[in-house]
Formats: sequence, C-alpha cells, structure tokens
Amino acid sequence: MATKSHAHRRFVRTRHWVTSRVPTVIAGVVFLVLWQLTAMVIDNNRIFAYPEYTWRQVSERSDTVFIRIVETFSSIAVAFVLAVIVGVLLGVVIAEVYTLRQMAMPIVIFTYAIPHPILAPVFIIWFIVNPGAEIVLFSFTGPSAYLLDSVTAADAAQSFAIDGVTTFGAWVGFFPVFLSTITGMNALEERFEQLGTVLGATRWQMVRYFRFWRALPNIASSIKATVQLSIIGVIVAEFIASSEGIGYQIVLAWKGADLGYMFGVLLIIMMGSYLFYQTVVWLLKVLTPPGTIE
Amino acid sequence: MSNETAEPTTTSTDSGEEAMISFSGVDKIYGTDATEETVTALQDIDLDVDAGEFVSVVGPSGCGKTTLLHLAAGILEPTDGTVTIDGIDVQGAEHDRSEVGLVFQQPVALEWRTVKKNLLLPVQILKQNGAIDESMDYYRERADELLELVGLEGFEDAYPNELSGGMQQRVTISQALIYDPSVLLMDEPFGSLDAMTKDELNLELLRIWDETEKTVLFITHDLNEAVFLSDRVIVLSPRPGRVADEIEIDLPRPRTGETRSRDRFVELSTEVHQHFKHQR
Ligand SMILES: Nc1ncnc2c1ncn2[C@@H]1O[C@H](COP(=O)(O)OP(=O)(O)O)[C@@H](O)[C@H]1O
Ligand SMILES: [Mg+2]
Repeated sequence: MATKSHAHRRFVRTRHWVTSRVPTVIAGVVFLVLWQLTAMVIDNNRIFAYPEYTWRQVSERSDTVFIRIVETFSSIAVAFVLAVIVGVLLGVVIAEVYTLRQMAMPIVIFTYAIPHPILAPVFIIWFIVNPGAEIVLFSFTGPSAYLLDSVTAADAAQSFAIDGVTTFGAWVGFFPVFLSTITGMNALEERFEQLGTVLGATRWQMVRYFRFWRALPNIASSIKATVQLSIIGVIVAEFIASSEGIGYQIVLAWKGADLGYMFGVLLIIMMGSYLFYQTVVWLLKVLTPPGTIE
Repeated sequence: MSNETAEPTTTSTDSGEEAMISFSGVDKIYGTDATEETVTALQDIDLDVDAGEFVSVVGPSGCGKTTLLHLAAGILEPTDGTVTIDGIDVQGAEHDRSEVGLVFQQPVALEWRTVKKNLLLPVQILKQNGAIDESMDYYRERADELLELVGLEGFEDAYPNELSGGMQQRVTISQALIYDPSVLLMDEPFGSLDAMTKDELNLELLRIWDETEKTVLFITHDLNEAVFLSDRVIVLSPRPGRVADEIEIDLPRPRTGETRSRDRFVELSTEVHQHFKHQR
C-alpha cells in the first residue's frame, strides 16, 4: 500500500517534471526562430550572426571550445564549492561569537559594497606573483581527449585548482551564503533555545542539532544565487587573466570582431550555466531534508 | 496507584526535604536591565510538589504560569529565592538534566527530523553530556515503544509537518518522556487541541503517570482538566503572580471518562471556578 502510493507519487512527479519542461522547449524554439528572423532582417554576419554561421564558426574551433569550456566549468565548480564551504563555516563562527560579529559586520558590509570586478586583478596578481600559492586539488584528462580525435591527452590536461580565477569566483559567490548562514542561525525559535537549555545542550550541540539546521533553508536558497555569482566571478577573472578558459575565448572573439564565434561561445556558456544550476538544485533536493527548498 | 495516599496540603517544615519540586521565596521580575520597564511576574512563591504527585496550576492568562514552569525547568533564573528539584538547585552545576522533562505549549518537533529522530534528539544530547547511561539501541527500542504508547506507530519516518496538531503534540510529549525523567513539567500541552483529542490524551497521560510514578507540574487554563487530572490544584492570582488558593482533589483513582459525571467532580469543579473568579 505504502510502496504503491510511493511509486505512484514518483510517477506523478516524473510526469510533472516532463510537463513542466514543455514551456522551456517552446521558449527554445521561439528563441531560435526569432534569432533567425532578426539575422535575416539585418543580413550581416558582422553585426548580427546567423544561427548557421554561428554554428560554423564554433564547430571550426570545436577542439578549443571544448577544452576551454571544461576548463572554465572546472574553475566554476571549485569556486562554487569554496564559496559554499567558506561561507557556511565563517557564517557559523560569526553567528556564534557575538564580539566577533560586532567586529566583522561593518567590515563585511564595507567589502560587500565594493564593486566586485575591480578586485579581480588583485586576486590574479597574488597568484601570478606567488606561483607557489596555487593548489592543484585534482588533475585529470578532459573529456575532449576521448571524444575528439584531434585532441591529445596533453592538450586536454586539466585540473581542479585553487588559483586566482577560482578564488575570485569564490569571493564573489561567498557573500550570500555567509550572510544567510548568519541570518538563519539567529532565527532559531525561542522554544528550541529553551529545549536546549532544559537538556543542558552545549553551544556546539546547539549549533549541530538546532541552529545549523534552522539555517539550512536560508543557505539552500542563497546557494542558488551563489551558482550565478561564481560563474560571473570566474568568467570575469578569465577576461582579465588572459589565456585561461572560455572567458579568454570571448576576448579573442571580441578582438577579432568575430561575432559568430562570440555568439556561439555565449550560447555555450548559457547552456552550461543552466545545466550547472539545475544540477545544484537537484543535489540540494536530494541531500537536504524535505521542505528545505522553497 | 501510589498516588492514592493523600499528601499533607499545606507544606509543613520538614517536607522541604522530601519535596520533588520546591519553590521557596521565589520572585521573578522581568526587565531588570534599567533600560526596560520591569514586570513583576511572580512574587513570594512558596510551593512544594511531592514525589509522585500530580499538581496543576491554573490562573488567568498572563499571571505567570509559564514563568513558574520555566523557573522549575531552569530556563529562567529567579530574581530572588531558589527552585530545587529533588533537593538540588536547578541553577547549580549539580542539577541533573535527565531528571526533568519539559513539555512545551507549542510543538518542539524539529521539522528537519523524522518523528523517530525527533524522539532521539534529547537522548543524543543527554548521552553526549554523560547525563544518561543506557545505549542508543536501548533508546531506539524505547522510542518504538513510546510511539506505540502514544498511538503514533507507523509514523516513525514521517516528518512533523505531515502530522496533525494532536499528533505533533504527542511527539512533543514523547520527546520529554523518552529519557524517563522523574519530573514532568507541562505547559498547557493540550491547549490547542479539540475537546475529544484532549480527553483522550488526558487519559493517556494519567496512564503513563500512574505506570511510571512521575511527579507532574501541569499548567492549564482549563479548570475541568485541572480537576480531572490532579491531586492538587493551585490557583495563581495575576499581577503579581502569587499562590492564591490550593484545592485538594480527593477524587478516587484511576480516573476514567466516567469520573467527570461524578457529583464530587462537579462540586470540586465549581469550587475551583469560584476561586478562579475571585482572581479576575
Ligand atoms: N521575556 C519576558 N519579558 C518581559 N515580560 C515578560 C516576559 N515573559 C513574560 N512576561 C510577562 O510576565 C507575565 C507572566 O507571563 P507568563 O508567565 O507567560 O504568563 P502565563 O503563562 O500565565 O500566561 C506577563 O505579564 C508577561 O507579559
Ligand atoms: Mg503561558
């Protein structure tokens, strides 16, 4: 009985998932049609590239694009994970230690007010001046080496690393997680504080059993914002760091006034970002207790 | 049935030793920070609850009932006087947390834990702090027994927001019962429930109390409920809260649904209502 209704619920959820994707597909088709129509009106690939021309420009350099997109999204993954871990840990500490909070909050608000991009060169320079600071977490041969004959394993050598690009991405993505951890932890209802007192819970037990969990819905929704912000951070850093990632490919396209290539690269970034976002949302749903999200 | 023996009403000098819960000369004033307006919530409270006794506290809203209970739970510190449980100051380091269970007015089930994990939460904390000795397996089994006792079997893996108000309240009560404290402090635990669920849970509570010989301090604004459950009913007067009256309830036990229709029940209930009216 219970399993049957469970299976049924699963079915309903799957069907719901499929139907909820229909508008997205329609939007995609409408987008392509509008793109083609606009290009036909302008009819100049240097001002507004045709979809077909865009495709050609990208597929000509598919090796580079493939390698670079993997490089960029590896950086984004590192930046994102760093932002979440550091944001939650620092948030917990600041939420718990009142005097630290009194001292830290004005600084946090001040740094938050600095427009992020102007700090990107600072992060890059730190790691250029001090190459030993870069930490390679995990090296791997990118999927392009397996999927494209023209790409050698050496070309596709990639890594998850803490470097100028990823630290800047983490910096940009860090604030929402950090702030929502503090807000959520301090929102614990009074009766739970009282329950803790009755049980003689230590401060660490209050964090571990009550406050952290109370903050989890806040953290989960801020993590969605962090996805976007760490992508922005990484790509901005790549614009500036030169030679790295898909961000640098945009710079090349811009310098060569190659609109078709630029359109293609932008589209790929958009699709990658969307996939990354959906993956994170799915992971959050799987990993957190029901009711944490939305 | 250990509760049949009538306790002496007005506490004599020697009963201070044996009282399970004891308030002596307790004042509670809120807002002593000079910046705020002060509220004298309780004044000159002298109250003893003997081991195994079931005592209810009634009084108009805002007269300090919750304050009284939170003082006994050690959540609040008295402005003056002392509160002891089993002879030990609840504010002191020797106070044994595993001796006291507090049932809150609103459910304290954590929404991110399943029902069973909610029951085990107090155990995890108390065990880590060395306040209880039994193994986790023992408590897991006990959680299953308790869930059956309060009629929640089959809901072990449900989350609190999937339960009705009455069921959530059962979880909250079980959370206080799981580590078998000898003192149960209950703050209008059935206040938000419909009359039928309330009657049902009242009977269940009496059964548990009778089986486990706990000392209960029970807060309610339902005078009939107080009479039905208790050995003694304390009437608090408002602003500042003081003990205005004490009514001994000599109804025989065990009490059943039929107890409410007894003449003596009606008499006592009327008496308590009258005492209560004087406090308005
Ligand atoms: N934290 C607090 N700060 C200031 N005043 C309070 C606080 N808690 C309760 N009071 C006041 O103390 C009095 C008694 O409150 P309470 O014990 O909650 O009464 P009851 O439970 O009988 O309704 C009320 O007048 C209330 O306003
Ligand atoms: Mg109250």
